[in-house]
Amino acid sequence: MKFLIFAAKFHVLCNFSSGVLVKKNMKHLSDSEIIDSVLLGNANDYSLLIARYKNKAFSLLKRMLKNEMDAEEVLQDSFVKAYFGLKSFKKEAKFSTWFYRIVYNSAVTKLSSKRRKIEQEMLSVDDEENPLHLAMPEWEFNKEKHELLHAAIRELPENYSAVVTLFYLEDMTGEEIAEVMNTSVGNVKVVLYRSRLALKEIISKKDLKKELV
Amino acid sequence: MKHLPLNELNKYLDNELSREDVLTVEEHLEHCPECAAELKELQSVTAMLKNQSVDVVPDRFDSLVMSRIVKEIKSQKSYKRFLASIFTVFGLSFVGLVWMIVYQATRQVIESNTNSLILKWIQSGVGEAQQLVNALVASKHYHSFEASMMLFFVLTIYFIYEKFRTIRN
Repeated sequence: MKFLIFAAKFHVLCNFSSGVLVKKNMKHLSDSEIIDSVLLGNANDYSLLIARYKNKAFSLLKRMLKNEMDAEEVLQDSFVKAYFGLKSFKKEAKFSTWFYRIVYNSAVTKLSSKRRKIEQEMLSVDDEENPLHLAMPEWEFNKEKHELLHAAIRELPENYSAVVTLFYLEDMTGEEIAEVMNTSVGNVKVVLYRSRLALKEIISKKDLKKELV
Repeated sequence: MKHLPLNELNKYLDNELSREDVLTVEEHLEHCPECAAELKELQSVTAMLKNQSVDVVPDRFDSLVMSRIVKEIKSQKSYKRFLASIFTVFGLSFVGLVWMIVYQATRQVIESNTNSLILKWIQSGVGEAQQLVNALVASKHYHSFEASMMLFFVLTIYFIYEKFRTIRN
């Protein structure tokens, strides 16, 4: 019996020493604890933060940039930027708010560079067709319900879709969204109200009430 | 009947109205089918938004980000090493330059004060250093020291160019 207890203890000790238990519990760590670990030199632990935020941040970017490739590229840049900015991250704020601020600003930069490019192309080609309309998602009525909703959200202006995504998908408060977007809480609420109305109009205009509501 | 402003309906939807305002809105909704329909539509949009699904990034995403981070760390390290080597080389060049100036100045002082014992001692020391440099560059010419400094400078430039090329590759 004593031998069995000793063997069990030895097994647990081995697991601890090999870091198996430590790694198993890593998923339950808070953002702040993961950041501490990364700053101590465990760069691989950053993948836990990536896993935690990648999909929601990707949703935000896809809706703002209206392009999957651009969204992926900007998200990669944001994660790299956040990694090298971790030293300057003050833990008074939530990591999510800080990170989404990087994501939002990167998206805004990407959008303005895209707009500049389009303007230059318009000047050089002198085409009557507006390329901005070409960037809009195409409507396919055989799409799934969630795809139709995503397409409807993507039709909103980028700041509207950002507010809607952060509020409903990320469950952020008005204050947090205001911090991410560097604006006032009042402005965030106005944008939220307007985006609901705009979505309502898009749905009725595209006659999607049956499919969506 | 005057309809409710949309801001009021939105605030009602988000539970941001005071108790009194809630009662006023609810009383209005009972008697105004248009506002009630508007609220219903807004409620359905909100419900839809609450149940929206999350987009999923491609599988290779995590590894791509981590490999970019590792690459960036490596390039930052090599950039630091590059800067350190440049500072070392320029530091050594500076020391060499100071040495040359001191050497020239000392030589002039020695030439004008040949009677001083201390200066004679310095003269012998400098002479030995000069002999050493002459032996190193295998030349008995008086300007061998300057020539060695020039060689050192050329080697420095070549070293910096090689380092830069390695980092760029």
